[in-house]
Amino acid sequence: MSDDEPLLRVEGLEKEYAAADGLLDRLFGSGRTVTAVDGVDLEVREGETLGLVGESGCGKSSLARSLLRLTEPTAGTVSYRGTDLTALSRSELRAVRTNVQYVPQNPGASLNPRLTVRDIVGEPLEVHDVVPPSERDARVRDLLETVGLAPGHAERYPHEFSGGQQQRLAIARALAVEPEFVVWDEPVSSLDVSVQAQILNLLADLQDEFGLSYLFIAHDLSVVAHVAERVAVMYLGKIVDVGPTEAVFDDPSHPYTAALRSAIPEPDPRWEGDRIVLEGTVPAPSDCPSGCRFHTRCPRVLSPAEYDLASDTVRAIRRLRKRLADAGNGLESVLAAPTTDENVPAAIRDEFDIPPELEDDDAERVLADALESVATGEIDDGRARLASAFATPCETDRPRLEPVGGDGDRSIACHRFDDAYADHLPNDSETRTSER
Amino acid sequence: MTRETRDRSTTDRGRIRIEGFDEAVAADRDDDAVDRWADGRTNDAETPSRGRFEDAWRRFRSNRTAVLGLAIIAALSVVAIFARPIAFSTAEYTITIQPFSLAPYDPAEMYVGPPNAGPSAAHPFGTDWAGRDLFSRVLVGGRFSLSIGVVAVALALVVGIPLGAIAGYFGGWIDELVMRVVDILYAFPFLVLAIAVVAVVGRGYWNIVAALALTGWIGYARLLRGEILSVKEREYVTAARVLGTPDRTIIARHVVPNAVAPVVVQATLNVGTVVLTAAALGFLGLGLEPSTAEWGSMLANSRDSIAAGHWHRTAFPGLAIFLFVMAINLVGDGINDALDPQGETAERRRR
Repeated sequence: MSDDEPLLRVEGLEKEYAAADGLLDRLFGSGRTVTAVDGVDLEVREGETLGLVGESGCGKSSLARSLLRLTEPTAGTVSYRGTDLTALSRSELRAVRTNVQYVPQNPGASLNPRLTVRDIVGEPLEVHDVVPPSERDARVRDLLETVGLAPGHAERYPHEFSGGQQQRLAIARALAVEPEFVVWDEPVSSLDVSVQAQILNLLADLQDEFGLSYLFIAHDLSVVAHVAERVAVMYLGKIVDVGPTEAVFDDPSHPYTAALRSAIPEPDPRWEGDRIVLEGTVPAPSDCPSGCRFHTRCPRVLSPAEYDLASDTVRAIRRLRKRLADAGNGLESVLAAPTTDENVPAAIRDEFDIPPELEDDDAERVLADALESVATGEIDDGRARLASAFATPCETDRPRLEPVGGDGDRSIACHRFDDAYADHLPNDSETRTSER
Repeated sequence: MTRETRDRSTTDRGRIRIEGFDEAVAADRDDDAVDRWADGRTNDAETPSRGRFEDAWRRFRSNRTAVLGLAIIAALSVVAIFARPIAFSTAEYTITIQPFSLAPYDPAEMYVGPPNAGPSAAHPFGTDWAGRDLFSRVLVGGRFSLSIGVVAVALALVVGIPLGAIAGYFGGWIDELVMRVVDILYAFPFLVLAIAVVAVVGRGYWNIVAALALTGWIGYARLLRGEILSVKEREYVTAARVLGTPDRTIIARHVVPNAVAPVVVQATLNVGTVVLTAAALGFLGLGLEPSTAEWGSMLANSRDSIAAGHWHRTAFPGLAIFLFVMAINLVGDGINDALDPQGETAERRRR
């Protein structure tokens, strides 16, 4: 293995779930599927911690489970030290389990309530014959001590422990096989803050002591920022931003990362709190937006190339277009309050914060025409005019995860960072280097 | 948001300083934390912790009707075992395992008293048409009825639990196969199927047990499969799979023990049903030989005597069946509540 070969390389990993299940559906093949993980590429290098963040439901856990083959991935490869895990047979996979471990999300639920700690922690020792049977008890005690529990706890049952202690038990069990790579699925999200810190310290100590590599999944950015050397940001089944922690948190980044970043509270009374509040909710994975998946909520959508518009204006027009798309055929469904104003286009501009006159003359002409159509009740016509004139590449072209910056360590999937779309940038948009 | 605060708060790696929650030496802290819990309940930190089974037993004991049921079953079992001496004879010698004899007469011996005599001091339950002592027959009859119930249910569990576990855990075509067989067997009424089996293979103790086991396993298989469908999604099963534990071990150690409680309850309650069915088979003339001292057969033989006024011939075997089935049901309910500490089932039952 060469030095630059990562410990784990995930390429094009996909996981689809059948949305309809049952004998009749299978017979008649109404194959509706939900894509939870959609072509993810990741690398974890030896000895590092890669943080994986994203909202609930974006596919983080599905990614973890399919890269460990706890559920069979639909497509893609996972190579661990050069062997493709997706191609292994069950017995070969069992051997790999001694190198790659997984600690599930909820520590209480991950411990069998009917077994004693000795049986729980001793199970991997027994399955993989890590130590001879006569030494198992001693090893269990060692492991308990390693994770900060008393060796005398071996005879107790999981329900007698607190949440933090249960998480320590789960960690001891994962360490029993002497792994070199551990996937942590939200290891601290169910613990209170002081216990979170203890567990995070424990993870850091274990990493130093045993030279482990981690894939650390969390939705809490401040936790990930603390533990990870590199961070990958996931949105709706895709990695949209990946790079060294400092870069992801400080440098110009994917608009989604910027929004997540702005949600970390600062322990600073003078914090201005310039939060980026995203519009709407995460679209359902069964009904993914076209083009860039984030464009429905993105505060920084590209503008059409022909026009020179401020990003506020672009966003305002997008809101109007969205309203028109959702609206029925009456004017009242476009405007929230019935207008007494004679000048309907002006009322619409008012409602959506569109300036009375756009900076760009061509754009202004198209917008004025479209608003006129809407005002006279021809909603369809207005909708079509706006759609053809203000279409952005974000709606149509799927961004790819492309390296950004000199050292190639940072990759972002956003058209803003693609030179081919340079003329789509809103004219007031901060240049890339100042975007922070 | 300034660059400085961002740097300080988010990209500094290393140990988190936890003030006020000092992470002391692990052994001290954790001993304290856990033992304070244990102390409240056992007052002795050295006592090994109580398992789930002991907790369940404690709850069961506090349930008086269940304990009464258990006492009745124990009494009936003791009486059945000690009713007559148990001995194995070979050609050369006889080994007596159990020398006691609670029954005053041999249950099969005829004319130990006048035929159809009512209860008296010499024959507390009276005698039957052939002058056999009914008291002795009822005591000895417990051997058949009780053992048929227990053995048939045990056999049904031996078949039903593995099939249900495999179907539920692996799913797919195995599941379809097992569950369709269960559906087919469920389409027959329980008693009719048992009658059909006995009619085909003939009478006899083991044939009856086989017939009852054959019709009994389907319920356990279906019940266990349903439980396993939910248990196999638990995270400790995922954890075991990621450890590389073989499926066999996962089923035996993680899945079945956490899914089997409702099956245990159902099986206990079913012992009563099976005894009733065995009695019904006996009543229909499909049980043991008519002269056997089995409660169902005794009822069947004496049904024409009710009109003649010999009430004692049906009353005492019937009472014995009633007593045993009732006791089984009390115990079954008690086990149900004991295994279900949240009391959901208990509450549902009360409604």
